[in-house]
Amino acid sequence: MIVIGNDIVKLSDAQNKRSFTRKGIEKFFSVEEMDFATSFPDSNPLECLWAMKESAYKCLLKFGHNKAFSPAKYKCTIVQKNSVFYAEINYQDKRFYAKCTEDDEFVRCVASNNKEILNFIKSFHIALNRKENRSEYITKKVKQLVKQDIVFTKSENNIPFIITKDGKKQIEVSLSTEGSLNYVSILPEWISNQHSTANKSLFAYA
Amino acid sequence: MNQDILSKITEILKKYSFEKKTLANIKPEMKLIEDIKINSARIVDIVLDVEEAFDIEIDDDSLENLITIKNLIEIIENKTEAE
Repeated sequence: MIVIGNDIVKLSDAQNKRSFTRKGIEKFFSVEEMDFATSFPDSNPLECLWAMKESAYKCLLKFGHNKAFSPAKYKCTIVQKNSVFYAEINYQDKRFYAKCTEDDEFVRCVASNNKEILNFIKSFHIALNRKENRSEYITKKVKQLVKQDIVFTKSENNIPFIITKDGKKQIEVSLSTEGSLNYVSILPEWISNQHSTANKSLFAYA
Repeated sequence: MNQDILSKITEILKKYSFEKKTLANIKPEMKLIEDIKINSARIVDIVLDVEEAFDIEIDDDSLENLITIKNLIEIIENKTEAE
């Protein structure tokens, strides 16, 4: 079973700026993570680490995890390559992989339990104040991306999922909200958790 | 339910919730993220504000059990009794 999770942090948000510079913020990060953060003073490493942990948490929820998000329990080993942060995130015996980018406005992160698929995840933004409602807009946008009729819905435990209208294919999706903004990530052409089939599909996008 | 604790918690949550009206009728079973519409990054502020207001430390295991208002009250009660 391959799952994805995502998160977005708005850097210009005044409350976010306050949160990530608060005295006591270190309790949510390991010593190694704080050391990493101090080595990138011109970047936003804590926001990036937070987004990675939260993205991994969203992956974990899809395996039936029913606890709340406790950031310090997600241990990130992080490296930077060409302005992109990559991390291996360990939570107990589970391991996830994350890719995080940042620009002047946002830190954006996607994570998965499968390292190979990170570059195949497609993401887009939607604003909540659009005339169309959120589900309708996401459905329309995903239809354009996967070129199939799909249904976007949520499970009983509030986890979003997408299934093709014929019910044969499930498309991995993750949703993150930051103020009025929604950040949606999907893994196109993912067919009902079959790894071999997924690999074939993924190569079609390469 | 400890009304003193609830009242202090409500004041803290008011600073960070997108659903301030909901807080006027706060109930123990309400979920912080889904019902009170707390952005997950505000967990930083809520935890640090609660620690300061009640002079306690919320550990990682307790935080993992923090889903509802009732959970938060229980964490505060347990920590204040222990200290």
